[in-house]
Amino acid sequence: MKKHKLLLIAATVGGLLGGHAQVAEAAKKPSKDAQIEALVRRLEVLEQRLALDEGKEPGKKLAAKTTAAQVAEADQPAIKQLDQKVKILERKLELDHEVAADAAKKASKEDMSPEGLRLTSPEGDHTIRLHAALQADAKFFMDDNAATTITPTAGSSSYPSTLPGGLPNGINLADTFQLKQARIGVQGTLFKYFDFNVLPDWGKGATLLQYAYLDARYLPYASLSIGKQKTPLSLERIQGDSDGTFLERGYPTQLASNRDVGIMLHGSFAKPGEKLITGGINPLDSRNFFNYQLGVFNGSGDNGTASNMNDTANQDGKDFIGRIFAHPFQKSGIKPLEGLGVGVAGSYSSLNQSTTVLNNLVSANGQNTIVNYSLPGANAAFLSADGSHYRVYPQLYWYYGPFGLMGEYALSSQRLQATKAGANPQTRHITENNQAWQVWASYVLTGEDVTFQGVRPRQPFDPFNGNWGALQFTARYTELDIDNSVYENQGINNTAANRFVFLDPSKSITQATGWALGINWYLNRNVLVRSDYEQTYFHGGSGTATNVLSRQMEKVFSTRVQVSF
Amino acid sequence: MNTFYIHFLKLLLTIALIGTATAQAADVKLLNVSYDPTRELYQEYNAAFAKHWKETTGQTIEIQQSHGGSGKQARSVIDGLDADVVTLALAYDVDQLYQKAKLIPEDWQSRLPNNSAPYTSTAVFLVRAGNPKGIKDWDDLVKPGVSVVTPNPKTSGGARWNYLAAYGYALKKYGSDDAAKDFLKKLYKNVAVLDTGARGATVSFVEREIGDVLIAWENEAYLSLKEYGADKYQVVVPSVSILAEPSVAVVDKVANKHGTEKAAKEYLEYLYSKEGQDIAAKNFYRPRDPEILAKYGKQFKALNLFTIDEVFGGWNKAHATHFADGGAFDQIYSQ
Repeated sequence: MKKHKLLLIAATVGGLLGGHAQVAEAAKKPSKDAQIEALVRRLEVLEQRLALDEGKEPGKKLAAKTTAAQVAEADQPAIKQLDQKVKILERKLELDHEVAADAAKKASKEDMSPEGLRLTSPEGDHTIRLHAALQADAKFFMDDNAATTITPTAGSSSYPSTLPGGLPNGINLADTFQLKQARIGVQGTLFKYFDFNVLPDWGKGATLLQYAYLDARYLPYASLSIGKQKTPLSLERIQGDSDGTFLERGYPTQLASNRDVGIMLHGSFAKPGEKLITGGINPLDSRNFFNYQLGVFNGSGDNGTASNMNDTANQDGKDFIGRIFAHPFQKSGIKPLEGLGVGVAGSYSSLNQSTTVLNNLVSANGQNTIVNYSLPGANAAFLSADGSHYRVYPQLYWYYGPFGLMGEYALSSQRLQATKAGANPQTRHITENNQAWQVWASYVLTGEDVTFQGVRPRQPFDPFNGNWGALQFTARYTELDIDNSVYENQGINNTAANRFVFLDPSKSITQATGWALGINWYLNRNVLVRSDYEQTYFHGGSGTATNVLSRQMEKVFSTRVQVSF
Repeated sequence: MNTFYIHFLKLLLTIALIGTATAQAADVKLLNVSYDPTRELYQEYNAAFAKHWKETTGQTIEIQQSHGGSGKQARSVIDGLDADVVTLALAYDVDQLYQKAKLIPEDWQSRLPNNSAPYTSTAVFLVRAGNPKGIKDWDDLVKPGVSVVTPNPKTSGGARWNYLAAYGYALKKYGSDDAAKDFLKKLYKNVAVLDTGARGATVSFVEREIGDVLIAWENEAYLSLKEYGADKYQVVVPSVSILAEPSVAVVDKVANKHGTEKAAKEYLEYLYSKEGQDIAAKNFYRPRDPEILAKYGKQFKALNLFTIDEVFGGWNKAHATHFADGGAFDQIYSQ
């Protein structure tokens, strides 16, 4: 019996030892927890077997006890060896955890999300984010006819909307597919307080640097943004290029500069008692209780953007631009008004016979030239800015759940100069006061909230599971009024020889009024389809210099597929 | 002169005087970045130095400590940890502050006596009570069935001293580098766990009860006897070991930035004072002061010590040969 028990225990221990040799080797592999648990269980089995042997033969308890004690004594070295192995495994596991925790603290984090590819340093002070945007557009113009030569009947007014007989003065507009945006950019944060953004764009067949700035925001209420950036004028322009509501922005945006090179002081303030939202927002803050921007830029003009190849000024005069904006009811408890934002922006510059040609203005959705400063009036030569230029932009938006509203008014008052060539050259100055305004509204039919940053669908597009993304209905009314003084003849008399106007009224409109309806389908946070229909009525802009007609009404259906992250 | 301006100037002068007086009485803060096993030493030393500083300058001084593997600590300081002083396990680690970041001058080691090593130590063995495996010398550590605990030379300064002590013994006994490497290979095959630092190795041996013998700093071994009981462990002194010289230095760039140069310099110089040497000896570090060494003579057993210069040609050469990536230790441990 004694021999039998010894053999049994030896076989068990031998098996355990053999198994543990493998366990020790396997313990180097990642499943150490499981191995340690297995060892502990095996030790318990061994102890149980010894205890069972003691109780199996009750009649020989004394002898069994003695035998068990002898067996236990014989097993001591093996048990001690097992015990050591378990302890070594546990300690190695402990050390591995310490090393892993240390390595995790030092490892940078990689993250691929709807916001792009992001790398973040272990302590979070440095991030780099790769982002991109692609916009593929299609525009279809309806009821546009080839231009015809019209002879007006005697006695007709100078600006009829249609000729007698009802035939509109047609302009043939090409339907087009267009790659509006093709951008890949890098933005990030260095040492916690220094943001940067570089964004080239290869859309529309050109290469343009849209953003290239550094924002030092150590003091959130007095940060400094330096480089090429959006100017803080038009509210709709400030909205992200991928976050807007319509394919194309309204007319107030066209009286503002787009992007320019300069330096801007900006700051944000939280409501007293509330925490300031910092980090990850561009210099044109739209999330805090109050913010301001005050910058000086080269001056890219109305509807202008600093050109890619020539981001330098050609004279000393600079554009001073400032804006204040507030969310007066933020965290007030008055839920319907908490999404209200109101502000005003303005600019001032003084140019001295600028040699830069003024930027043309275009129809909102159609993007066709409707005010052409490069085609001055008869006998007028070069048209340029000379003197003071100021703009005023009262603006507001209101977001409440799925409902959004934005309104903006713009006044751009600019002193212009034109030179009449010829034997007796003349130089004229006028002050052109152009105005524009718009109001648009939107409603997310699927119930998601709309914000200044756009719409985030609750569920991504997955029709087999009943998810279609988010659907937003939009409507807009926008108007542009060009100062009539640019069309007034200041010549000696109204003869062709002395005709001297700044703009040719047969080539530039005096007024444009447009309304638009649209649908935005957000398939997910990164992919959306926009469709707008816009109808724009014009005054002027067609006919001849002596018989100005109204440009044909523009009817355009446009659609866009956009990917952005 | 206008009376307003006179009063204004008087006000400015008063503010300047108050400011100066306030600055002189301001607290001083030092950060001492040290290696793993010196916690107890500097806890006692800092209290003594603070008293000394108060008595001599009238200022209160606060000394913060950071402990960890010596190499790791040096890297932390290079990467931006603002240490006013470093008290590391070996001169090589301190020298990295010059080599990698120019935080200290090139001649830092000559600024304090004894090559900026105010106390020394060596590598000894700590075994379980009764010395069940009969450990007497280095040769016993390579026997089959003997489980050894020692930290990782890649992260621990103490571990590097241990490695070099074993290598030096083998080189002397067996006569060649190949034989010494073979000896080290057998030794590290018997190593149960490689902790990151000396204190961690002590935890493994004493608290986790792993291994038969711990190769430890002499001070760490005697501290373990004191803390865990002389009835549970005993110190075995090998026939030969290495003279370990932990080095200290003021981190000039940081001390200048903090304005603590004077305090930092005095902090390290006081280690060489009678009181500083006495505290070191009480914590089982071999003092440089012969008088204090004689006072604690019974505490430190005599043993043959070789220096790193004698056997390995200095720390730079030793590091390049043994501890750099792909060096002798990597070859030994990976086989």
